[in-house]
Parts: sequence; C-alpha cells; structure tokens
Amino acid sequence: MDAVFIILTGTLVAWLCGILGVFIVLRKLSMLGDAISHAVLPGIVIAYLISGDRSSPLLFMGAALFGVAVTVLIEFLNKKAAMQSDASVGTSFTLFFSIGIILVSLLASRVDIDADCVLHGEIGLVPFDRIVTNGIDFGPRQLWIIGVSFIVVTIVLIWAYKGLYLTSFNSEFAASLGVGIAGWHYLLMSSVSLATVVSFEAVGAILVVGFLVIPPASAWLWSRRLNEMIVLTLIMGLVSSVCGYYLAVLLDSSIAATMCVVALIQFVISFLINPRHGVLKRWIYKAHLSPHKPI
Amino acid sequence: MQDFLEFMSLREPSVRYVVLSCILLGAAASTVGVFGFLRKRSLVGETVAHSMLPGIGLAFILSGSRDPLFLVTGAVITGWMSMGFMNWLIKKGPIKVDLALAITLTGFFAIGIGLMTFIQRGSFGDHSGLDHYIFGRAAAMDPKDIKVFGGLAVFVFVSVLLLFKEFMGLCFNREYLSVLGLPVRFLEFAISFLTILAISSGIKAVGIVLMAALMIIPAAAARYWTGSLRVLVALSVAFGVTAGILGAYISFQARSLPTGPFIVIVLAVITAVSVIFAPERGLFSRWSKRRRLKRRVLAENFVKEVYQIVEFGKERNRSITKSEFLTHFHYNTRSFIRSLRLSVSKGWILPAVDGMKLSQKGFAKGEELNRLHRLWEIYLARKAQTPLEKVHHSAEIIEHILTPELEAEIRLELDLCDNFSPQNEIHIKA
Repeated sequence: MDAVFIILTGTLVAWLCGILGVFIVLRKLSMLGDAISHAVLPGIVIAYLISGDRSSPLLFMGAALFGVAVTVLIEFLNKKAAMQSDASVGTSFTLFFSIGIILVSLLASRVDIDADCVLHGEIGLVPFDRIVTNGIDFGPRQLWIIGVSFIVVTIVLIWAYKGLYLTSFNSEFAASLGVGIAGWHYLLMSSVSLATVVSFEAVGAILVVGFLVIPPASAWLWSRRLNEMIVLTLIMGLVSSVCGYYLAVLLDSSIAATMCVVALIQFVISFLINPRHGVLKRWIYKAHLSPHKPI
Repeated sequence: MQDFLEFMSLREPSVRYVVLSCILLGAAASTVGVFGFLRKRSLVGETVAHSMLPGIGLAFILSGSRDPLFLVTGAVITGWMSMGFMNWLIKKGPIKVDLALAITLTGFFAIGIGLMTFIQRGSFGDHSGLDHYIFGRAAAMDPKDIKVFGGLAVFVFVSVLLLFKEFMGLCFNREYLSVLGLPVRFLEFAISFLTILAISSGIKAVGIVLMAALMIIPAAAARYWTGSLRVLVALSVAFGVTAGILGAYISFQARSLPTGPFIVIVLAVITAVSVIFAPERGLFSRWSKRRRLKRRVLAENFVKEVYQIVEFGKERNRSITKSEFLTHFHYNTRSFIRSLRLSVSKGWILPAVDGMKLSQKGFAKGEELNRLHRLWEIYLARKAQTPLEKVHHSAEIIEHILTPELEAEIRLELDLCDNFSPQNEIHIKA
C-alpha cells in the first residue's frame, strides 16, 4: 500500500509540474522556472518558522510571494539596470537560494527541514504522515495537498487556457488583440511557485525543475498540438513515477532522484527516435544518401 | 572587528592555507567568469557545476577513497560530459539553449543525488565529508585539499592570463580570429575546459550548488564600472577575492554553517552597490541624467512657447502675463510654475513688472529651438517623404537633441542657405 501512495504522490507531482511545465517550455522560460524553484526556499523557511505548521496557507503565500519577487528582481535587473538576461537570472536566484540555505542552517533546530530535504525531498516518508480525524484515517497528508493543488492548478489552467495559449505561441499577435501579456506571465509564474512549494517536501527544491521541464520537453518532441503535448506529458509523468519507484527500490536509492533520472532517460530516447526531428531518423536518412557508395 | 583582524593576521597556519585557497579560487573563477559573461553563457556554469555531483559520487564509489584528486577528476569528467550533452542537444535537434541547460542541469543533478543516496545507504566505508561538496565548507579543507584545489585555481588563472588576448578576440570577433589563422576551435575548447576546471576548484570551499555564482556575479557587478576588458577582469578578480576571503572568515567563525551561501551574499551586496552607485551605468547616475534632461526639456519648451507668442506679435521685448500665456498653451498651475521656475533659473526668462519676458539668452534659445523644429519638419517632409501631418510630432522631440554639427549637416543635405529663418513659418497651435 505504501508503494501505491508513493507512486501516486510522485505521479501527482509530475502531473502538477508537467501541466505548468508545458507552458514554461513553450515560452522558453525553462531557466526562469529553475530560478523560481530555487528562489521560493526562503519563503518556505520563513513561513515554516512563523506558522510552525507544514500545511499552513501561509506557506503557499510566502512561497508565491518569493517566486514572484525573484521574477520581478530578474526583470528589474534586466530592464531597469541593464544587466544582460543570463546574468540577471544567475545573480537573482543564487541570492534567494543562498538566503534560504542560510536560514535552513541557522534555524535547523527550530524548523523541520534540513539541507537533505532541500536537495531531494522525502517522498519515501509520504505514507507515514497521515491525516487522522476522529479515528478515521484519510490517507497521507502530502498526497491530499498535492492532489488538491493539482486540481486547483488544472482549473486555473482551463480558465486561463486561451490567454496562455495565445501568449505562448504568438505574443505579438496576442498583444495586438489587447491581451495583457504581463498578467498571464505572472499568473504562470505564481502557479509555478505554488507547484514548487507543494512538491518541495516530496522531491526537494532542485529536482522540481526536472519534473517541470523534462517530461514536457519529451512530450514536445512527439507532438504537434498543445493538447497532444499535455496528454503526452501526463503519460510520461506517470511512467517516470512508476518506473522510478521500482528502480529506486531495486537500487536502494533516492526515489525522487530516480524518478527524475527515468524522466531523463525518456527524454533521451525521445530525442533519438521521435519521428519528427529524431537523431536516429537523420542517421538513417544520411545513410541512404551516403556518397560513399559508387553509383 | 577584533576577530576579523586576528583572522586576517593569518597567524594560524590552517587559517593561512584556507584563506589562500579561497583567494586563489575566487580569482580563478571570476577571471574565467568574465569570458562566460561576455559570451552570454553565464548559466552554462550553473549547469556544469550541478553536473559535477554524479562525478563526485562515482569517483567515491569506484576509488573507495575521499582523496580530493579522485573526486575532482570525477567532477571534471561529468562536468565535461554535461557540456557535451548540452551541445549535442542544441546541435542535433530542435532543443533551444535554455531548455537544454535546464534538462542537463536537473538530469545530471538527479543522477548525482541518486548516487549520493546510494552511497549513504550502501556500505562504502567512510563517506562523511562528501556532503561538504554540495554547499561548501571552507573550514573543513585539509592541506591535501588545499594543494589540489589551490593548484587547479593557479593553473586556471595563469592559463587565462597567458591566453588573454586570444580569449578577448573570441568574445568580440570570432570571425576575425579565424581569418588570422588562429585555432578558434582549440581556443573554444580551452575556454570551456578552463571554465570546468575553475568550477571544480571551488567545489569543496563553495560547493557545487552555488559555485556558478562566483563566476557570474563578479563579472556582472564589475560590468557596471567599466567598459574596458582589462579593468573588467581586474575588478571581477577584486570582487571574487573579497567574497572568497569573507566566505572563509565566516566559515571559520561559524563552523556549522556552509560557506557558499555567505559568499553569494557578499557578492550580492557588491552587486547592489554597483547597480545603484556606479557612475554612468548605475541606476542613480542614469536617473539623475534623465532628470536633468527632463528639466531641460521642460524649460526649453516653455521658452519656445513664450518666444512664439512674442514673435508672433513682432514685439520681442514685450512682457506677457500668465493669463495671456495660458490662452495660447494648456498648462495646469503646477506645471506652469515648475516650467517658469526652471526657465528663470536657466536665465532664459526674466521676471518683469507685469509678468515675464525673454532675456537675450532666452530669445536666442527660443529662436534656435523653433529653427531646429522647422528644419526637422522640412527634412522629414522632403527627404523622408513623411506625410505632413506627422512631421510636427517627431520635430517636437528632436528639437531638443539636435547639435549644431547635425544642424549644419541637415542644412547641407537640404541645400538651405545660411540665413534660413523659420520666423515667417512659425507653428503656433493657438
């Protein structure tokens, strides 16, 4: 039963991150996603410290605030202070992440997170932390939090589908129609911060990016339409979660990291054999056209 | 402060070596970082640094020892592999740089975390201290570490200085270098390799997660102070070394705290100061420059408008009242007073008994602005075939910027004689 809960949690993390990741990948904001997932750390620690509770709404607000703050800081350094974009990303999130790490190490005794948790989360412990009210066992708390977040994010995305779709593929056209680009941008960024916080305990701050970026990237290689890409992302997420869990048990290693590695393997396979731009296809094509054979 | 002086006197040999190695790696990372920064590849360092984790893990598993030489070799190999993987993705498929960076970073890091957990749970002997490589622990460096990491840093620093000119060419004019017959591909290989070595020199003191910051931030901060590459490198080295020393100091003061984050905080403070206060590129200087321009434009517009009123009536010494001015131009009281005050302080408008009048200087200024305005309108209409209804708006802006040299050139272009005067063609909105 524990295995089912862990796999279910892993799948939901992959789905939650994946549906947001689709838009992140399409908008070429992958490194911004990386920046946000690093930058929410101080928000999480401060909110833990104030509320002393791991499922308090303060946590989500704190993290969303820091996620948006880092986006604003990057934008500020880039636009107002004329710093080139890669450097402004690199400067901003390392600063936020450092503050987070310092807080974690300073408050290690008072806050229930440590550096290991930041690095790879504790998805293996998910089944042991349960919601029990009136003697009735409602199942793992993390699973509930991630599941509810997944539903909320899905509803938000369905509501925002048209705006995100337009601004992802043709932002100039969207602007000419009078669609506010910045609004959708920040909606997406705050959803990414939310997803990071929710997934933080299960997979850690850095591996979240893997779930955010890798399955959508693999799906992107196979698909021609946005809805195909979303469905494929969900399938890839499910597969990486199931395979990742059993591989981790087999190797006795970190479950979250192994899930991420399986996602990477999926990506490499997709990159090699996908029918549209696959490397393998090109090799075969080249072999056919090979000039070495005498005519 | 007492502590800091005691620390900096370097009386304790262990302190001496750690400070020395922090200085060396700060210098090495920030010199190489400048070239990454100028080639707009700062985030490559981030990815390569994270990708060193599996190398450290593998080296430990294979060698069974925590000898820094083995670990660094492993780190360099996987760092190198990550760079190759990234380039392969970008070259062979539709993957863009940004996505390739993120995929490589998390993919390799996940493998590393998997290996680390594997080591922790398996029976691989004494693995304590391996986790120092993640967030850095400068104080935990022993003499052997210092020999290895310091040696790497010195190697990187010296190589960059030797190849300085070539790298400079690589950043600014790659094609020219290849025309000169220099081995461009070798130089690109060298710069990538030195980047990886520089990152690997800091994995113990700063840690893999934050090592990239030591390459990106000093260069980004130094860029605010200078436009010359030599000064840029010198300044980044100064920033990197400062951060290294302070990082080492904090590491000794608070032994349970990781070093990496503190180094980043020091660098962030340096950056904040640079962003705000640097001359020319800094926010403060650009803000005050903009403010000066804004005030000048306000005063110039005001003088121009007063000039138009008096010139239209052909009585240049007449003084005009506020209410008369406001029948021609729309100003609210606040902006009227502000513009008037600015023009008076420039000496263009003189207060008169019954209002205000133009000074000699103000008259010349008003004449000049109107002339430039008209000149630009004619230029646009004749040379750029701009529709007549559009020329006024553009001229409103350009009249504040045209220099005498430009004016002469435009006149030459338009074949206008020297005594061209706009006076009978003045544009009055009233």
